[in-house]
Amino acid sequence: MIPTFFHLESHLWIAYVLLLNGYLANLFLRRLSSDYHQMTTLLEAQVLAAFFISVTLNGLLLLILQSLSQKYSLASYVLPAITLGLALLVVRGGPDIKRCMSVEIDWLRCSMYVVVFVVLFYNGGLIEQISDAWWHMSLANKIALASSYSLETGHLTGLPTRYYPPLWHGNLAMLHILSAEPLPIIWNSFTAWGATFKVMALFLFALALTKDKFTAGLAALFFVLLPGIGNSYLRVSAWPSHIAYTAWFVLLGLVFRVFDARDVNSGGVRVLHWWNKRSLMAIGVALPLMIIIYFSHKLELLWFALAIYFYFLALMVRYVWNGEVHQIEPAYPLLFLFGGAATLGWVGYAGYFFLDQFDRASIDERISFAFAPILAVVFFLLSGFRSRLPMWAVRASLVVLLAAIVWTIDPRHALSLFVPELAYPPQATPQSPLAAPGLFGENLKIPGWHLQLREGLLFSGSVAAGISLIMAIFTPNRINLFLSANCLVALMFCFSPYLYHWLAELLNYHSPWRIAILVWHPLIIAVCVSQLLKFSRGDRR
Amino acid sequence: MKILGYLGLLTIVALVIHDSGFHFDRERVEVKQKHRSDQRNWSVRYPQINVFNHSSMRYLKDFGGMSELIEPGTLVLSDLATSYFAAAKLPVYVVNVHRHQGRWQRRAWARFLDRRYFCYLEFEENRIEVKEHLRKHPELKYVIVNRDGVAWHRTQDCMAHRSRVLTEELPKFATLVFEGEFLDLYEIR
Repeated sequence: MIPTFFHLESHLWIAYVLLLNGYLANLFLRRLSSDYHQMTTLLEAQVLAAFFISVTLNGLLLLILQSLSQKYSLASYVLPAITLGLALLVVRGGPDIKRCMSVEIDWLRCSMYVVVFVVLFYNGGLIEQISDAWWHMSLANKIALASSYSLETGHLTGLPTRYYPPLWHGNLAMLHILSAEPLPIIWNSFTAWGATFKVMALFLFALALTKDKFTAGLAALFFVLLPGIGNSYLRVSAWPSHIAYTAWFVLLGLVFRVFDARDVNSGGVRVLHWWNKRSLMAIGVALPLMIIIYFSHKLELLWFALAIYFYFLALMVRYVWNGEVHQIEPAYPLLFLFGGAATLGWVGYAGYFFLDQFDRASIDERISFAFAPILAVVFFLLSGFRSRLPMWAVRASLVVLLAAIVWTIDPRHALSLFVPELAYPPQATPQSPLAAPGLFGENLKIPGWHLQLREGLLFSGSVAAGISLIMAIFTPNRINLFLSANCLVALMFCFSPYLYHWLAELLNYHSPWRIAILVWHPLIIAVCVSQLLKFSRGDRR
Repeated sequence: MKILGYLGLLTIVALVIHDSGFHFDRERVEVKQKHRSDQRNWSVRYPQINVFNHSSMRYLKDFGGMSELIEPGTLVLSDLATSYFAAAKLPVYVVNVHRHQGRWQRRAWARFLDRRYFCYLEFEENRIEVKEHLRKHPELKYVIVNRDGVAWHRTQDCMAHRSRVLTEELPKFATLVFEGEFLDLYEIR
């Protein structure tokens, strides 16, 4: 018979090791800075700040202990000392402490978090499969045993293995050492916390994008309910990738905070007008989050850059079509600065990659490697010479460019999303890409829909793609262009063998299908519901 | 126009209900249990006992007993699932792992495991192969036999579902140093 509150002790340890010190540091920071105070008004922001500060503090503590050749078990003395020190710093604030502890709580959203926590408390995170979770637990176990992040002999087979960002494993190791709870129990218990944090982070991101708590709350609810890549998979919330997703959502929210931080009294729209306390504070919080992602899973930094870059592309398309950008995105100088630098970077690298691979690649591969960079060069030339060309020629060229991308879609692969029998034959492992013939009969990589793609796309994902396009065309604002660009470009990579093969080879990554995480269908559907509700009430804006 | 708005809303509500219904579907959980398919998505119908039964939780006591006897940093052989469970709990390394997680780092062991000599120890020729392999590879110190009959993960590996044969034949090469509720630890002689 299993008790109702099984492994309760591990939950108490999680609250202490992964929240308490971070919460105290958060209170101290709130006392120091009014901008930080304002940024962390909501319960969600405070909980996530507490979590990420704790994760960072723990990671740093272990690093210091390792550098001093001390055992990690020493953390059981140092951590309470840190808690005491932080508590003293907070208490020194005197009557100000009440202001620091103020928090805005929405009870409806809180109920949702409680339900998510309770369901995952009982569902747990140990799925009935020998999944990679055990690989991660083995790494955390050996970090704890060796009191070191750098395991020269590897951790599973006893032989040197590839480097894996160890920040999250270090935190698990610390929990294991301090609590003496076995890692599987910690992993299983943390899943409930991690799932709740992830939903909270999604809410913060949606709120920063839409500036509407109702829409953001709805997006969080749909994130819990609708299957997809990353969303709804709450039972894997203790995996390092999902810790990184949580940080990534918060990071995206901070980007929109920076976009909105322009000094409106300055009257200008130069990059320097974003150089103020508000944006600097957001950047100051974003940088540690980037470091957390880098040391816990890394890949989300790429998805982060791509998410912003795809939005930049959507704005550029809009600009080429009718010159309209300022009204849609006031922070366009920032975006253009980022987009310009990113374009130069990736086109340059893709050009080098094409030349490097030319002799080894088949004819279809050469087309694949050259397609995106050539398209980008033509597109940016078109945007540069836009004002010197007749409007009909500009628009016709843009349509041809967009049609060229759509033309690379493999119709059989697209249809196989709905009719699995049409799918290309499976390869060695489920993760292996399928082989789709190119124009000259050579094989190109394409992702199998059997990964998490089919259940994410059928039907809410594919319906959301259509909705996002309609919303972007008829109401081209920041929300709709950001969501639509991310959804459609990400899907294009999954439908087009030329684009997917190029991405897989360029990144030298086995699972670029994970780009579908940018489909954001819970957000698209939430925004659509919100707009339809307004429409039904007679608001036609 | 208002009607269009309501129709749109209704369609989306229907879509969300359709796509998220599986989180509340008892039958789906039961079918998955019946077919021994893992439950990756959360479900309000998913009973907590499954987490307990199909993970290493029931073996933690046995692992605790072994950890006092086992030499840290040594190499252990077991079925696939128990190997991972051991790596996450004990100060040991394992040879029987997934291909994408370094099975071929120890080539000789990967070939040996793929030929399944250890699963069919009742045959003399296999016992000879095993003896020869253990002689050439003395880095292997222990074998863990999982006798559990409940957990699904055991069916993934022939060493798991032939644990009875292992229990009978292993004493010919190894000494039983720990006998737990589910797990036995043998030290290679």
